[in-house]
Amino acid sequence: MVEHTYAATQAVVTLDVPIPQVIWGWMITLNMWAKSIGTGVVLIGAYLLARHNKSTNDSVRKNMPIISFVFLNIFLLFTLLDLHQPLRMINIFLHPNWSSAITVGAWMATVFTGIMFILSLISVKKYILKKECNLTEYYDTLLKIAVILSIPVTLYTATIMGEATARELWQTPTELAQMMLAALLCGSGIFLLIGRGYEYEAKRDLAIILGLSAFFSLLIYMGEYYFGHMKAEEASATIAFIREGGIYNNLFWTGQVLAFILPMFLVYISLKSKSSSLLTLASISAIVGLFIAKHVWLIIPQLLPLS
Amino acid sequence: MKLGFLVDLDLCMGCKACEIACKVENKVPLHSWRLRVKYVDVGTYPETKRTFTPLRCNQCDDAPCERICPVSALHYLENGIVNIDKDRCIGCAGCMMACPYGAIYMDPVTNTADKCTFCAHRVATGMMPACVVACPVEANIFGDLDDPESQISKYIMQHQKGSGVRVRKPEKNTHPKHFYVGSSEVNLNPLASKREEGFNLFNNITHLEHIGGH
Amino acid sequence: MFKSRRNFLKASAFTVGTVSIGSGVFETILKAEEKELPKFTNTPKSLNFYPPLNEWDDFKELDGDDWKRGGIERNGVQSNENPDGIKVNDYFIVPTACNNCEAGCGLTVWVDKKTLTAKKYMGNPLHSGSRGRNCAKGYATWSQMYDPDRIPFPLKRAPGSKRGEGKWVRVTWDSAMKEIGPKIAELLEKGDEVSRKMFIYQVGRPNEAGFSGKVPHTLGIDGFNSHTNICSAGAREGSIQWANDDRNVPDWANTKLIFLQSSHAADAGHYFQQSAGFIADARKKGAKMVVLDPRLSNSAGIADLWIPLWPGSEAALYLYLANRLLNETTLSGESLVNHEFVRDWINWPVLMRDKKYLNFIKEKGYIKNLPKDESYESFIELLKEMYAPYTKEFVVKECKLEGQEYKLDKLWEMIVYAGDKIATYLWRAGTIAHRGGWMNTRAGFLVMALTGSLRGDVGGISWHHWHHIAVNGKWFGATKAGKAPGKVDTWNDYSWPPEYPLSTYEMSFLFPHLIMDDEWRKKWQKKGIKVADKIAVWVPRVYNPVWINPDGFRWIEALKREDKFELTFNLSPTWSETNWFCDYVLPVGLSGERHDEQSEPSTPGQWCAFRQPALRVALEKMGWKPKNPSRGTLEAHMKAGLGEVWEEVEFWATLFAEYTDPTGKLGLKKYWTSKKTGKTITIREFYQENFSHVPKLKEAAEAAYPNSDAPCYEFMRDRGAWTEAEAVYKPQEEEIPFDGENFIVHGKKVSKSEVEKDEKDVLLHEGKPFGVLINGKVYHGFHTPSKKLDFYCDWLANDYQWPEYAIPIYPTNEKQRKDMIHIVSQVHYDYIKKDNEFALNTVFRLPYNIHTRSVNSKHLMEISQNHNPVWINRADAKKLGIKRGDKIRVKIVDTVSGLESGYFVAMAVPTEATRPGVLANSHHAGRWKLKNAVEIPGFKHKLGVMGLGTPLYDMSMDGKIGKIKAKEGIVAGMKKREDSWQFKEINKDLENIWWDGLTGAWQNAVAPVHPDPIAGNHAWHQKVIIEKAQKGDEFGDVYVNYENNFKTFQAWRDKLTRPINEKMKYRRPMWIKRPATPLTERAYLNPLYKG
Ligand SMILES: Nc1nc2c(c(=O)[nH]1)N[C@H]1C(S)=C(S)[C@@H](COP(=O)(O)OP(=O)(O)OC[C@H]3O[C@@H](n4cnc5c(=O)[nH]c(N)nc54)[C@H](O)[C@@H]3O)O[C@H]1N2
Ligand SMILES: Nc1nc2c(c(=O)[nH]1)N[C@H]1C(S)=C(S)[C@@H](COP(=O)(O)OP(=O)(O)OC[C@H]3O[C@@H](n4cnc5c(=O)[nH]c(N)nc54)[C@H](O)[C@@H]3O)O[C@H]1N2
Ligand code: SF4
Ligand code: SF4
Ligand code: SF4
Ligand code: SF4
Ligand code: SF4
Ligand SMILES: [Mo]
Repeated sequence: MVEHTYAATQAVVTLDVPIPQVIWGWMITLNMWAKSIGTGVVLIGAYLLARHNKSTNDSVRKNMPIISFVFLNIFLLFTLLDLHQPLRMINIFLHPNWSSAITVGAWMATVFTGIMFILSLISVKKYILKKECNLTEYYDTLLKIAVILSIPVTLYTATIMGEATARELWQTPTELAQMMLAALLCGSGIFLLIGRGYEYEAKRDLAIILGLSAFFSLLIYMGEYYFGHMKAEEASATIAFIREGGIYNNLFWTGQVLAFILPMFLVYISLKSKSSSLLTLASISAIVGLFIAKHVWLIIPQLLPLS
Repeated sequence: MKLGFLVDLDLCMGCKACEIACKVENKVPLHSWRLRVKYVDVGTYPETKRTFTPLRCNQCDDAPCERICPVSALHYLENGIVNIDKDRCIGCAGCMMACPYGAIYMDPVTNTADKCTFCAHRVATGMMPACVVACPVEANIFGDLDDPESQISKYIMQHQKGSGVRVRKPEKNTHPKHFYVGSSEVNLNPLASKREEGFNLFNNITHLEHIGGH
Repeated sequence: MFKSRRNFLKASAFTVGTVSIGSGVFETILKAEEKELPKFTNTPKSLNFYPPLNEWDDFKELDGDDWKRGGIERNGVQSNENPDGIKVNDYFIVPTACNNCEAGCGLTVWVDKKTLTAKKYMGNPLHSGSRGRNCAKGYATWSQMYDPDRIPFPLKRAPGSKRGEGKWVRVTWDSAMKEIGPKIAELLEKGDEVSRKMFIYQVGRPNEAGFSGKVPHTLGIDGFNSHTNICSAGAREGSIQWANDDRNVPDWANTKLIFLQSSHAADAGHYFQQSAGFIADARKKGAKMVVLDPRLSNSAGIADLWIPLWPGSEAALYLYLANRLLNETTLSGESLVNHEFVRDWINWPVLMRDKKYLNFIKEKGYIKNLPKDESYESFIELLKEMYAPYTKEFVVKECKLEGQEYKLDKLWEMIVYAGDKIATYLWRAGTIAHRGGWMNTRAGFLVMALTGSLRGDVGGISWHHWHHIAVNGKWFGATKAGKAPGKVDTWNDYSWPPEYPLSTYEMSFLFPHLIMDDEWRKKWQKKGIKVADKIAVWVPRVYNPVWINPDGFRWIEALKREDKFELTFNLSPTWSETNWFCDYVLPVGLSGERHDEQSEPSTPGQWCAFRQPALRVALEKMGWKPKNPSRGTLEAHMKAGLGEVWEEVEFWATLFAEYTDPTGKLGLKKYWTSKKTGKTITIREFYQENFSHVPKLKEAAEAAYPNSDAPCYEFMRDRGAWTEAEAVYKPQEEEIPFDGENFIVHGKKVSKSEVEKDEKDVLLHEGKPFGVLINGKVYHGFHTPSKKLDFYCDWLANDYQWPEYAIPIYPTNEKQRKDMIHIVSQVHYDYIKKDNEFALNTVFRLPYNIHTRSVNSKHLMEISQNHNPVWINRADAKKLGIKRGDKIRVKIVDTVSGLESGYFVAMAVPTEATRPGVLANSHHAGRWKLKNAVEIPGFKHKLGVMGLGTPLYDMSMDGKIGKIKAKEGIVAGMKKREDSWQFKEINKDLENIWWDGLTGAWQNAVAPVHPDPIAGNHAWHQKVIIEKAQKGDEFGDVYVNYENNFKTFQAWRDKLTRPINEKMKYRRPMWIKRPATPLTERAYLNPLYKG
């Protein structure tokens, strides 16, 4: 019997079942975005405490845990909401599968959120209610643990994406860097928003972190944008969605401009003019823009038919 | 025991008997498929050809879906089948993101992930999978890859020539246990054909919303 | 009770093994029987296709749905000790036969004993045609069974409402029979000739072997009206002319060349999946496959060679092949013609002796010289000369294959390679789609005759009679009558109008036209033909004529006329466009819910299958008994919760014996009452008698069930299929035993003295031919009066007015095409000139759809979505600026009357998969309904109407113009009626319906009828003009001027036919088939005859 051989001239799918639309949608974007803030503020907060203790100490100690805790809860809430069986989340603790980045992440995030909860308690009691808190003595130790933990907590989503073998676009080293940069971008952005009264040096450092995170993020995205197609056929087809003519071209660039290009530009001007007034705008732009940039990146590989 | 599946694409005629037999056997709800048979038209008139490719779970030996599943709802059976446990599943869809073959769906009735299990319940009854029995042209071959005397092992040995025996996306290192004879790029690589959204010759080529959950 | 049954079966299972059984999956069964089945382990020692027969009454299998909880490794197996284990289903596996197409494949119904529901349908490994396998439509029987919109009880048009208003009331079977029974009795009481034409049983595919025809036959009425003329008349006409047989039988599995002018390998075709399986077997062994089809069917898509010829030009191609076979030789100089076969088995001597005819064809220019003598050699010379004009150049032009000459070369190589091992099944495609399509069959079989493939040897082509077991109408031995009714003494002019004496068969699709053509009726009445003015009782069965025939509005127009159709009822499990316009809808069962014996010539052997109501069989095996033994199927279905669903056999028996002729005075009752009990016959008695007419089956059954009062019935009940013979090759060459004194003809002695021999060397007994003398031996021969294959049909030339077509022929130039218009397609390229003019291919199937039955299966609808785009060649589309998804108007224009029919609005899909100049549009979509659901007074639920696959439409018609327009899609329609109440547990997924079905178009509505003047087939293809849709046009819009269509009907009838005249003694040759009611000679007599 003949083997089928085909001229590769033309091949069109003429019958198929529908394939699923985007599986991980805006909730997952929100999840990643909120987590970047939740961990970012801890990383940057720790930095401020270490380097600019004087003008930031109280503000950081008060705000960091609360902001982190709030965003971690947004993150957890939407993680849960995105589950088709949210009530069964408990199974992650009853039947953990340790090869799964989701499991590892969930455990770490839970511990991290726990720590943030205690830190927030202390913060609320001590700084807001201005009462004595007998947990205060653990604050620093807990913070140290939190700082260390915040790194894997912010990174693990990248590992999940790495384990998402189906999506050629997301590969572990780049995604890891991207996650880290997102946390730094958000952390510095948040502190620039709440730390308007900090000393200039602190704000300058924050601006530099913001600017550099934006720069390196942009670098990574541009690297993918221009060279990603060389990685694999799938990556190339994915990137086509954001390249010229692709359906996500506009949104992609909106994200890049808001999240990275505009903040970089504003940071540059503000550093040059030694004025911090533009930094608020830069921060807002970065944080909003990051949502868009992440969302586009999450969606596009899901548009490809896998089979 | 390592159960494997093989489809001879030189025989498959795209009748979709297997697809429906599977739906009935496994109560696969509307809007979901454990198995689909895709048609791709190739070439220009008058040298046009039509290809049919049944697509189901590969029961990968190194299954990313099993790896990513946080609760081991996806798990290996002794016979090599990647089985699934809907009571355990939390519905995170991680497996859907991980399976490079789009083999997993979210069952809209149970609201949990599901996929082809090589009819593990039939196997455990000593029966061939429903789609294997169903096929009018015996394009589906099923059996134990560990047993050199099984029909599938022999079929693989006998079909090394020509286009050979191939699997989908070997570069993903998932080590599929589902093989194809008589395959070309168009059959196995979804990017080798155009999948234009909208109505075509036979039906609506489209995407469906990811349903269930929220 | 179960236990003893099981042992009983076990004992008999081995008996079966020794009797003739199909091969294939069954081997696995026997093997499995030797081993103990390992039960419920993830590492079983062997895997089987089917459980062994001795476990069919008690088979345990893990539940696929429950397994989803993680299987037995995590949960164990369910038992008393482990109630949370994975559920085990306890099955009765009941064999039945698929009813979704005419292949009659085996099925097994897996009945869950606990819930008395069918869990699934699988194949039946004992069926030697289907070998345990089925196509998608077979497996979809399950979803049809649990269609939420199937009809749960008999319905009657609400009193006071008009037909088609959609108002219905619930009635009982008995109250329906109380009205219908006496209405039929009135006809019998009158008993005059005209009354005996006033009951019409209008059937679609019978899917049974012999019962349907007996319904009117026992009434003494000529009322059978089958659909064959829209299906396969062209092929049947050609087959009858060659072999006086209904259809040919290919030995696909052993052939070297699969020659398809159809789509058996991958789409449809008669006996679809069985053929596909055998074709695959042959291809595994190296057979080649060629497909002649203007469209890239799935079969063409996988073939070795696709020849996309212009539709209707097949005969030209075949005669070209004949020319080459006759005029070329092998490298070693041998003739390519199988002379041994041709000399012995073709009726050439009849032609060579007929000097008048030879002169006639000389005058016609078919030949230039008369043959020099009557020898075989001269015959071959004549053929050589006659077919010489069919050159490659000619055929390239005629078939429009410019640039594809290489394909003809490839085809030729294949033919030479395969020789006498070519298998084909000429059925629809070109043979049905065109005026003169039957000639394509004539020419096609000429090729097969010349190569010797038509000898019917291994890998070749045989004929229907020899491979078919028709016993579904042989129950009379069990009745009070004791024998079949006598011949019927009347002729129904609606089924067999005088214009079409040779049609194959009833002119079913013209029925509404004829009945509404007063002029026509009066014309013939004046000439002494007693045409009935109206129909008293009209019963369609497995038939949806309104939708599947051309000119649907004409059907609706006619059916609404209460003066023309006094009482109408449809035996249908489901809603349909037709029963919307009937007085009663009486729900009968689907594949697993009814009794039939069916047999089809799908293999070179002989098999028969038994269709049965699975729930009833399961119930009876569990010890349940019906209160009324002749209503077992109805009672069982009610008991099992399926609804008041009955079946035809029990229905007709009850109707006739208890309501039409309760006293027996009309002479009807005796055919439907038991000899033994005097009561209405039961299924057990009925099928015991029918199956006892199959000799080897009877023998095996009696051996297997020695103590049974109905061994044949029980044998088939438990197995569902039987193979009477496996390899029946070239039976015409079987010698008739002769002991020096007597011939043994079909087991009977016929003395030599009573035998006559005619000039054709045919032996006759009592005027009937039974054998033929060839080279000193007497053979059975073929079924023609000549006992040979008729290359030349002298009767066609001499008695039936068509001399120019009495041999395979095809016009070779435009002038000849004008003269020979009767065999030139209505869509010949002569008629198609402008860029936006096309031939429309209206004839093709989707492998996963069945005419109008897919709508009852959610699974089939999910694949196909009521979508039937117009396929247009990409280059043509580009020329016209048409893009994928564009709305286009497809306007139909007739090439005989020149009239426009109107248009339908469809979606265009440019493709490389159809040839330039020819569009294609499947009829498997474009369903409509006028209401989403019907309210039944006093019943708490609404009855949904075809919700899974049919959008809601508005319809208007005024006697001249008919229109429909979609107003709501399927999703919206289903959402609105969350009151979808039947089988809710089984259909939990219905809310996930995601298809709207709004891209379908009812093309048949626009099509005018094109009755072929000879075969009578509706020549399906249409000339169309396409244009972009206008503002406001939506997909599915239909606009039809059915008044114009009526004129087109009259034009085809009056301009092209040669009706019976004073010179003809009979209205049709008495020896050719006229199903299904045997008539007296008086009935055959032509009232016009002045002889
Ligand atoms: N899946 C499926 N199978 C079925 C059925 C069904 O509904 N669905 N119905 C059954 C019935 S009732 C029947 S009668 C059989 C019929 O089965 P077939 O005899 O195979 O007939 P069709 O499917 O009508 O047409 C076969 C092919 O002929 C091509 N064709 C159309 N016009 C022409 C022409 O002018 N010339 C040539 N050479 N080819 C042409 C069509 O494109 C199509 O691919 O199928 C049976 N099997
Ligand atoms: N344009 C176009 N039109 C065509 C064709 C084509 O190729 N092109 N093909 C033609 C051919 S070949 C054929 S045979 C016809 C087929 O035409 P039909 O025989 O009319 O079509 P079906 O849809 O098979 O069955 C008709 C009806 O039978 C009833 N029914 C379904 N299942 C059962 C059952 O199990 N028992 C009983 N008693 N009734 C049942 C339902 O009411 C259903 O609507 O269509 C013809 N129409
Ligand atoms: S094919 Fe996909 S679902 Fe199946 S085992 Fe492999 S990764 Fe898992
Ligand atoms: S959806 Fe269910 S099966 Fe899939 S990874 Fe999540 S928990 Fe596992
Ligand atoms: S093996 Fe079973 S579950 Fe898998 S595709 Fe076949 S029928 Fe479906
Ligand atoms: S049943 Fe067999 S031939 Fe039909 S689509 Fe499936 S694999 Fe192909
Ligand atoms: S080929 Fe016809 S009879 Fe056989 S399974 Fe398919 S639909 Fe049923
Ligand atoms: Mo048909």
